[in-house]
Amino acid sequence: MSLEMALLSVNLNFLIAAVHLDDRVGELIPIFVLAIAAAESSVGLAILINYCRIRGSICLQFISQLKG
Amino acid sequence: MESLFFYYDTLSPTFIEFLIFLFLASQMVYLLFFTNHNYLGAPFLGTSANYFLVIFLCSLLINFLFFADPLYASFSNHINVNSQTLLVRDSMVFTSLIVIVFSMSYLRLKKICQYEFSLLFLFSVAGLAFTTLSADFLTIFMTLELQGLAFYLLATFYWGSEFNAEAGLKYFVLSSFTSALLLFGFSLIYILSGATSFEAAQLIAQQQSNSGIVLLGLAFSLSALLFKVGAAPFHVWLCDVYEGSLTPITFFFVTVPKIVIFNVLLTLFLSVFFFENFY
Repeated sequence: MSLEMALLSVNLNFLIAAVHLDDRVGELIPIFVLAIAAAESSVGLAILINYCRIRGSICLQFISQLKG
Repeated sequence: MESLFFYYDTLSPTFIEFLIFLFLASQMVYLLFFTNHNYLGAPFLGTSANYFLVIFLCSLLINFLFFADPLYASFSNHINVNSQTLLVRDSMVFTSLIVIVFSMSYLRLKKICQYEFSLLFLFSVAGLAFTTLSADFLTIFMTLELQGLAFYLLATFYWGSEFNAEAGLKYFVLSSFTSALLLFGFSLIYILSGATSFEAAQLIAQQQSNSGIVLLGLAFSLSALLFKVGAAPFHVWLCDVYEGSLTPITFFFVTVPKIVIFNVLLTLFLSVFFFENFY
């Protein structure tokens, strides 16, 4: 969710720049970025569900099987 | 007739990429169609798809020898073909060919029959091939994301394993956060220049008055790209992801994207942000 919010805030940044510069490209970029953010969140949710099914929890404390 | 020549001129430098996407679509149809087939079905489908992928990559390499049309820009300068990008793309395809040849025997040894391997592999190769050609901030972001989405799934490929799931989760969280940082850096450059092409950014960056925000955008995008190659201050994720994912996939992560992203770093620093004002 916070990843989505980060991408959306960058979108807002682009849109404000587009209004400020009166430029068309800046209004077009958020459409691409929205599509990418949707794909990314779906992939992330799939990975998270898989992890939850294996480990039984998504608590950050216990994601420490691999210790670098 | 004239319009036909126009299309040929626009599309010809990216012919290889179109071939890759066409092959990707045909591979998808093939895999979906033969999933429940009696003889060509489940246990051998992944192997046959991998063989097709090897043949396809070999044919691409043959194509490179005859298909060098340097100094070409198309898609309104979003894509730039010159000898440097052709060389990088060539070596990328060659390295991925080696990786897939090695990984086939590994998959057979471990009895991993999931046929999505070649598809995900091909998605990331397509993304990386476009990344080498891109001469534009938006194109770089899009293609890096295409590559990244395939990579998150490749890291979790053997999804029954705890280590694979954890490696994929860690890779996903960290890498998608840095791609947001990359986009933020590009947006800062866009605010100043009003364009996403490298030339405009170069022109804007050379003015003394803008150097602060340009440096900030440069710092954000640089840190994201250094994360993607796993350079020094951002290298901590490497060990977990490389340890957790399957061995041929680790091989793929180590070799192929590094070539391409180093090329992106080179073009950023030798063409866009190369000027005397900062020294």
